[in-house]
Amino acid sequence: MDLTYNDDQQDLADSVRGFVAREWPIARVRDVQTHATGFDDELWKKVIALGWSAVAVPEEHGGLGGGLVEQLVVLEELGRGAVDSPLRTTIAYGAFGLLRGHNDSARARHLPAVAAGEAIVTAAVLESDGRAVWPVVTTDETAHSADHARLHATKTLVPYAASADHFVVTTRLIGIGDAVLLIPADRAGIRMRRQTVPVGEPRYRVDFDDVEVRREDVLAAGDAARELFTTCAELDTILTAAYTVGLCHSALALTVEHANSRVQFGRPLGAFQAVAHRCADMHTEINATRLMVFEAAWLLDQGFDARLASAAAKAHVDQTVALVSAHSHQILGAMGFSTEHDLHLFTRRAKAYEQSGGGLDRHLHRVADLLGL
Amino acid sequence: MDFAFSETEKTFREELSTFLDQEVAEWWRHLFHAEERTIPTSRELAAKLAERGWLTMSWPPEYGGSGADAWMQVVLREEMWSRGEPRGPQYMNVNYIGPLIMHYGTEEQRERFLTPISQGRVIWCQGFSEPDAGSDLAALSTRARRTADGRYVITGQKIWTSYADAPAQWCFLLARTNVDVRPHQGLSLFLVDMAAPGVTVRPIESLIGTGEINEVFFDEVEVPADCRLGAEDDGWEMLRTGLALERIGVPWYADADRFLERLVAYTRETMVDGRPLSEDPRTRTRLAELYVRCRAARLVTYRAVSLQEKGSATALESASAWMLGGLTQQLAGQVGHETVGALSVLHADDPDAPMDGWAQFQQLLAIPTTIAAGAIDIQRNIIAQQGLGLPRSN
Ligand SMILES: Cc1cc2nc3c(=O)[nH]c(=O)nc-3n(C[C@H](O)[C@H](O)[C@H](O)COP(=O)(O)OP(=O)(O)OC[C@H]3O[C@@H](n4cnc5c(N)ncnc54)[C@H](O)[C@@H]3O)c2cc1C
Repeated sequence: MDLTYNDDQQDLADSVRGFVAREWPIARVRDVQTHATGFDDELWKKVIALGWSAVAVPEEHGGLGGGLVEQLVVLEELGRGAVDSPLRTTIAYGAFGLLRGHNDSARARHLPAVAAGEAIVTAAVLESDGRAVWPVVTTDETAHSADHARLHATKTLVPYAASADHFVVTTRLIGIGDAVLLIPADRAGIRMRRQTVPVGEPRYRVDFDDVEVRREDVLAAGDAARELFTTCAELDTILTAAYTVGLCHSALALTVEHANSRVQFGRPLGAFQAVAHRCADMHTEINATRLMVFEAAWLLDQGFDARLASAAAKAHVDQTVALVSAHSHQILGAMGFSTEHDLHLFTRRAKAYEQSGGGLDRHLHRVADLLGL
Repeated sequence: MDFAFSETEKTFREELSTFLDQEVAEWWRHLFHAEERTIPTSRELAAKLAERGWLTMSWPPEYGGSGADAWMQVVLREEMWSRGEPRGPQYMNVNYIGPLIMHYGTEEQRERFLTPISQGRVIWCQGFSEPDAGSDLAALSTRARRTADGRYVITGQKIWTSYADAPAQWCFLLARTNVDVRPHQGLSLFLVDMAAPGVTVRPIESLIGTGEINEVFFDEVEVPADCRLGAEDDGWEMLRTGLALERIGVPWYADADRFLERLVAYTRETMVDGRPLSEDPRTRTRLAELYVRCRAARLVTYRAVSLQEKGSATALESASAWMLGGLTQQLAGQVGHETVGALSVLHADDPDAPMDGWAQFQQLLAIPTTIAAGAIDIQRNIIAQQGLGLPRSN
């Protein structure tokens, strides 16, 4: 047992933190947000040059052969900087979709580029109601043959759609059933609209309007498709959770800084116990969340059953996010309501992730199921 | 004890409600919705309310009111806040600025300032907070110096001044007139013409957009002697009365209640896994929890009004009411977020936003409601120290 970083992990964390400070300071975060696509190609190239998309990909597939724990180290540090990138979906749905999917030729063809981050993969999984992942009814009524099916789907909140090379799409096709597809972004019939989300990853509504589906696009079908989606989604949840932990750390750091420097009634705000206790609570909960998230990743790395750990971790993250955003804004006072202060850049990102992949309730139910209730 | 509104009050609520259903524009979201149309539209509505005698109805007839009692006023503000306060910034005029002028002003001041308010023709802003004086308002440093001929020259900076950029015509300003006494004993209230030379307004971009909160700079602004309210150095006591009125006058629970109605409708028409979301156990108890909190905040506010009516109100009641209202709004934001789920990140402008983006908006609204007009911790201090007699920590 050792719940601290080893030297390599510490070095990795330091190097990511150094990179963020140098290349992607908060001014850049604000700037990138205003780009038409919310994506900065130049910065992305620097990120992938460091191998961060390939940390957990096995060496025989062109990855660095590290564990998810190491991948989380990277995500947490990026969260501390509120650095958005297509990293999490490229890893969770791209690299691991190909790795754990059942399509050897697609794996051979795409994984090297995906692991290297040269091909960006995003997840077009949420149905337009923002809840379902699989269409309620068969979406494809059109003719198909064994080799060709057509995709009709509308997906929402798809991150980085305009910058992606591939979409991982969950759908149901006649003759195939439930399917997880890897659709190239240049396939005819894909339309998208950037949605209005005030901060964080750019999100798109993506319409797949009679898009051709080839046999080679199918990563998994039937029960295997559901299984593959669950694997990718769980991974995404853990990566997002680590990122969120980073966001919360920074929200707390900004709050503590403010509580130390802002003087009211002749003393720093932090001298009031109401303020100090809120800070202490935030610290305690963030720390606990962080360990739960890393434990889930470690279990997966070791090949153990991580379902309970990751459901518990996500539930805990959601509680922590609610606490941190309420407390940090309380202590910042009116200052935190102004966009001139950085706090909202962290809290609003964290709030957005709070409900992604199902909120607290969904994960508590999952915990209950796994407890045998 | 009597927990019911009278027949007159009920009739008034119906009449007002019908009027507002017709008059409040479809697109109107909230007073705190920074949008170009917001202020002009609020001006129109305030004028229409004035025509019907509803704008300042609790005021005496000589100042444009009809002497309605405090409960009619409660009905009025609940209907307003449950519709996003369509009176706009002018709600403050009626809430506390007018009443303070009525109570502490000279006869000339009453005539000069109350008539335009009762006609719905004037926007005031509130110049209290400063960069170094938020919760510790008595620490403010904006200085008002009296000249030999009795005028004042004011220099300093205010911040978070809502609606200054509306533009507000007048500022209800708290400034320091005396530095030789304890901080809260050297403050005075001024009625400052925002068009006076030396006043500059800079909008601050906030989470709800640009154009609501502002910085206001006063650079040697001359204020005539007859624009000081009450006696010199008597500002603090007047202000405390004013803030208590302001806190009772903003029924956040009514706003949260309306949001709850929207959520109920949303959950009934939203199918999840083939069943209405309203049948989901967690959704049901969370919405019910919000209802319980609204109801509690409402009663505590009614008790504060009852005591006010009897002339025995203390800061304690308004502090409790304000705190519960703020916390109810905070809960509303969170429950809305949970109920709508992932799509609640979508801004109201987005065609895919469920509930016309209310879930997103309510989350933003929840942030300042435990801060503005006195942070909840300050309310807790008031309750603990003035109410329960616990020792002061500051
Ligand atoms: C949307 C909005 C509109 C506003 N409009 C106006 C306006 O029109 N005119 C105007 O004058 N002002 C306005 N304000 C300012 C408002 O009055 C102040 O924000 C408020 O009084 C708190 O001051 P502050 O923001 O400086 O927070 P601070 O005083 O810095 O306090 C920050 C936090 O510290 C804690 N704290 C502070 N003191 C204590 C204590 N003694 N004990 C325990 N905890 C403590 C509390 O948690 C508090 O929330 C507005 C604010 C907002 C957010």
